[in-house]
Amino acid sequence: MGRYLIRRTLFLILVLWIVSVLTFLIFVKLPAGDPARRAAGTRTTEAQVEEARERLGLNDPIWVQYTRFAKGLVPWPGWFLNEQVYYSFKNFVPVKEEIFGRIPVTITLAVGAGATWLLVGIPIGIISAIRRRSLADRAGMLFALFGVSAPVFWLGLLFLYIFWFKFQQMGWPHAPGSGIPTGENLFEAVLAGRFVMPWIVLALSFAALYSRMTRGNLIETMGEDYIRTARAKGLSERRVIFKHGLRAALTPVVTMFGMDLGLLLGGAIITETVFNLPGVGQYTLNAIKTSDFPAVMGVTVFAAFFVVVANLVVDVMYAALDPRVRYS
Amino acid sequence: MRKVIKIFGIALAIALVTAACGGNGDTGTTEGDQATEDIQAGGTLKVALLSDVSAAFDPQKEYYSTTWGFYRCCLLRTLVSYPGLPGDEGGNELVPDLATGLPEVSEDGLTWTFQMKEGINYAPPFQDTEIVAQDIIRALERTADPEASANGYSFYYSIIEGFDEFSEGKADEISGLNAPDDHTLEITLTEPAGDLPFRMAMHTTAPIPEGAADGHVRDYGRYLVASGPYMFEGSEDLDFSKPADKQDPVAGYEPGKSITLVRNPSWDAETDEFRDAYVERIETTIGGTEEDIANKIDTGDIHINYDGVPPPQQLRKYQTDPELKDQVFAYPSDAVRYISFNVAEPPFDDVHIRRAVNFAIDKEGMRRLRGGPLFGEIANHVILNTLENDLNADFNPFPSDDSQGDPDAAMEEIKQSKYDTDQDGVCDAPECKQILAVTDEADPYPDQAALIQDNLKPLGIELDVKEFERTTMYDKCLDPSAHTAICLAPGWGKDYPDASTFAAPLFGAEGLGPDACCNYSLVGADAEYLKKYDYEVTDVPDVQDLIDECTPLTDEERIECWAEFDRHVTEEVVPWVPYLFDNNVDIVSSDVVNYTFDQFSGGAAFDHFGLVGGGEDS
Amino acid sequence: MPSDCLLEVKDLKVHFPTDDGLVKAVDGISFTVDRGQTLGVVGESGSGKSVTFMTIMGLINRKKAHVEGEVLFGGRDLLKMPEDELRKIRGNGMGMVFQDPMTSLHPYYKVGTQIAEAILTHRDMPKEEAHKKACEMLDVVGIPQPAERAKQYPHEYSGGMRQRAMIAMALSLNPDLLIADEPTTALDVTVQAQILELIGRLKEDFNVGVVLITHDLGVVHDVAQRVMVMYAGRAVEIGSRDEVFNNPLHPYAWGLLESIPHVDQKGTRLVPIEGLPPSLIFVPPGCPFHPRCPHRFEPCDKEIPAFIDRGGGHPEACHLPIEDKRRIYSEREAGRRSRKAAS
Repeated sequence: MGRYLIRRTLFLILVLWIVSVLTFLIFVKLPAGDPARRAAGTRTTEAQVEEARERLGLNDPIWVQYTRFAKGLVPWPGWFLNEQVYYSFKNFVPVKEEIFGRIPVTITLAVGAGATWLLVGIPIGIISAIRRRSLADRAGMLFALFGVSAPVFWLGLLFLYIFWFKFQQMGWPHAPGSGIPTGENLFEAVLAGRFVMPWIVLALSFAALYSRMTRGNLIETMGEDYIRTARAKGLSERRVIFKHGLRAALTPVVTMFGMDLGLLLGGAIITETVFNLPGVGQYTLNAIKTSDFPAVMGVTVFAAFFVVVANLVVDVMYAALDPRVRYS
Repeated sequence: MRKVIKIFGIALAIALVTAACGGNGDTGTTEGDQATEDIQAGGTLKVALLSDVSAAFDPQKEYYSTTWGFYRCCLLRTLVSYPGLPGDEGGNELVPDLATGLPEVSEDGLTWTFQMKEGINYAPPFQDTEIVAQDIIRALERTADPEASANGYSFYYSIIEGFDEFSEGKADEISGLNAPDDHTLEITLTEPAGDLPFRMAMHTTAPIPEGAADGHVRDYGRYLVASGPYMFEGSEDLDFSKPADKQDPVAGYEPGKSITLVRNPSWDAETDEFRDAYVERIETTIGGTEEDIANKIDTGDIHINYDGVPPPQQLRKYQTDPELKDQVFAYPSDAVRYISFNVAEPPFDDVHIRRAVNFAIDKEGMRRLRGGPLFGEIANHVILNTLENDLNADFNPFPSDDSQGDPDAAMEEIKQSKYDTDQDGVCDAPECKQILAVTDEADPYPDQAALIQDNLKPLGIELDVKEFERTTMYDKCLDPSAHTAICLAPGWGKDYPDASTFAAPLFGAEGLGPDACCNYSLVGADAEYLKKYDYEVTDVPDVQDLIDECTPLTDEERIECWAEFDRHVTEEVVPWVPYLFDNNVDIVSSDVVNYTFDQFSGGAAFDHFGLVGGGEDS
Repeated sequence: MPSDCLLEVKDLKVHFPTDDGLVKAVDGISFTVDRGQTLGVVGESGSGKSVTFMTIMGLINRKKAHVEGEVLFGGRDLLKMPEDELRKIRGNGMGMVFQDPMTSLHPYYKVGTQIAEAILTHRDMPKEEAHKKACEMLDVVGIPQPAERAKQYPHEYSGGMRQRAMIAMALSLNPDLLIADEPTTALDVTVQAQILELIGRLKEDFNVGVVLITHDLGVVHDVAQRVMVMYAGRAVEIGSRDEVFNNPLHPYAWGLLESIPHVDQKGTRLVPIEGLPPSLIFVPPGCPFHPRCPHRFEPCDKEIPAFIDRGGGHPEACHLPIEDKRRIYSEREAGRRSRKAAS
């Protein structure tokens, strides 16, 4: 186990290194336009561009530049997203400050949505699987089809329009609108229900995927020989399904959940934009829109870090869940 | 962002936006009559901002009109400023702000003297500090510092004696800036500049108290010390006694999230002739979508979308409902939208072809695709009517019925072209096929491009339209090595209310790309330049002499000179097809009284906004 | 019915409606199993062997099948029993061992836990006791170091060990009947012998009735006391081992016997039965075996032969008079020997 973790961690470092090289090449060495010129702003004198070049360290040897850049990937005080590189040249805020200030919102969104889609998707999948071809199964799979096909952007606006705008106009109890009012902290925002619609909207497509996955896995599992064995032992059908069937059917679902959550922690761009939630995803979009390279680099590195760590966690979890997988 | 990006001199372009189709009839301004009522002070104005300001409120870096609007209405006072009114109510005219009056200029035009009001203090934590002349000098010194200043502000101030030397570190102070006493500022120039007062109205010259910007080379905006009627919430907690890197930025501005302005207790209405500052508090949320914000304006959760265009459905609803009609406001935003020819690239090196295109374009159709008459007035020449005292208001060298294009006149022009070998009015030379045209990928530009293609097809002119994201589009239009023959989607806004801002950057040598901006047409390029970028054409029209002729003039003479320049460029040089003098369209919630348009920033003037009942019932 | 009769099946029919038609997987079968006796059930794949006993165990989905007839176990008809009562008999009154030990144990649970779970389902006892009992059972089926082995997962067991564990599980509640569905097919030959020997030994020790489903006549010969030959969802011959092996009465049984090498007849050429087993949807009219039967005659394609004793000493389902059967079988045997001699 220990050796496995060490090896996985080394692998993680390798992946992050590759990410760092690619990101470095894309954003520092081969960007669309001279970073110094971009940092200096428009209509600048050569002296100003030169000054910006010096300030950004673009005159340093390439390995010095890379080291400075790559340090930003190392979770070490003063290194991680260091301000020398990861410092927005659009709004002059350290990228670290922005990301750390926004990550609580993103975590709240991701975890809440994750819980929602598990609580919705898995039960629907189970019911669909054990009542195959029943009305409930068809309804569940129709839901899944809708959830998978409905674009989050459209769905978010639709939810806002109906449950906030229309309900309010009708004088009915209505959902809170988008955004977090200034002066309201995250906890208050959650209590005020501001995350309910974003959770549902973000969770819907995942719930749909997870219900289909659960259904498929469970149907496959229920055809396994060991399920027949469990029945032959005289176990109740409930126990057969929930202990023997789900145990095997949900293992891949759980690991997929880890990956999806890891991805979302890097920012749920569309949901955060539609509901105007100040999370990492919204920051990412703004950074891209304004060609704010250090910020884009920062979120890339940050998201890569989350995804890779989520991968490791998932692999360890998988090994814990499935005894056939050895830490080797 | 719909507003004109103001990068001095190079003022890049009208940012994306669109309002797609819709907007039937009902041209021009819908003026509320609320101004005459007594406006109750108080309440919280709720503003939506789709995109954050561009440089976190650092006055030496900000170049978006959005921020300029916030500075002018609320945060920063300058020696002279604008009253926050529409152009026809004096919005383009300078008024004294920190100064007691407009400056005096010496006989030789080289020395300007500003007298400043006494007893005006900064917002907390500098509430005990008076604003003095030295603080203006400090701001200009920061403008000269290449590390703190961005976006070419120094372009406007290098005429100040010693400015460049200070900038290059060769001098400890700017010799042309003198404060004989706390309330007098003397500015000495190296050459006369009739528009210096306009330059001193830019917020990069707004006073900075001693010590405030120290150590905040990058991020002074987040420690901004206000002088206007409002300040960032929590300004009083700024602690400039700590080392700069230990200070906490102001709470009232969370980059990318929100801007919260509260009343500046130091501000005294007695010293401020034109800012009403009715509302108590201005809360701005950043982000979201136009559709969602439109709904919030309906419900009153948001009072105005400061940097967005109303979505078509919302516009339709408000324009057709008599009760909502007076919540729609349209004002000229002092920008022109146009099609730009590359006069060095065949077939547009031939003025007859360029004229033919001018005749052929259905300008009314172009406007309809942007949302109809509400979104502006058809343009028939280059420079805004407001900057020419309407001297060219009736000037239209390429007329057509209802501005829908005149194909016959276009064919007559084509006949005179060397690219029409059989003189049948249809261009038959290979140069007229597969012409590289560049446009914006966002709505409504692709539809407009299709209309242009339709208009030109009967003339034998066939465009090969390539769509790009807006900044890339500008790069492609600007880069002479791209050999873009025609650029379909540019726009241009004034930097300050003077016609000269429509000349040099657009048609002078200084605006030639790729590193400068924004002479897409290559007018004024010399043979060497053309050769360098592989153009076969060796000679293109040049208007530099005319520009130089007008620049030193003042008053009526100056305006007449620029009007003449405008006519010459439009009719003889023909580098553009101007088609629309753009309007800014706002929809405000019914709680807002006294909506006022600020001609200077091209957006709403919050210092004149009031709320129904002082915001009591909302 | 003798007092040691454990299971009596009367005219059992199991039909599955499908989109293609009605699948008559089991079409009227009757037999008994006695305590302390091993019934070998042989037949080709698709002959209904497994379905018969899955039905008896209640392991087929009753909603998807039409089941008729009677299955008397301990004097009660299992087919009329509600599901939760039937469950008490499953695992408890009768245990089942399946063909593939590799997939029959749950890969995520420890072997001991899985056995203990079976015990706990039917017995009210503390968990520790159930685990102890599970270890005992592992010991009984010959797994060394049962306490440690109980804590292991199935993938840590070899195939033979897993089948032992399955047998331990099936017998852990002292059932009266053990149904072993091809328990050795997936195992290699030496292990096969061990498992069969184990089943034989446990049958004595636990005094259970055993049903051994297989398509391997050799296995049946080695361990069964009685043999049932199935074809197309029906029994075609039931008798004691010696009767069926030495004196088979049904042409299909002849074919089966000729298709295997006799232990005492080394070098005998195998004669495969010609043709394919019939579709269970379109079962041939008359005797289902007649299209493949070299001895068919006039009534075979019209009348279904009754499953009765035609004087041969045990019941069978073939229209041929007993004399003809004896004659034909001896001729076939003679022919086979001469072929062997010639080779």
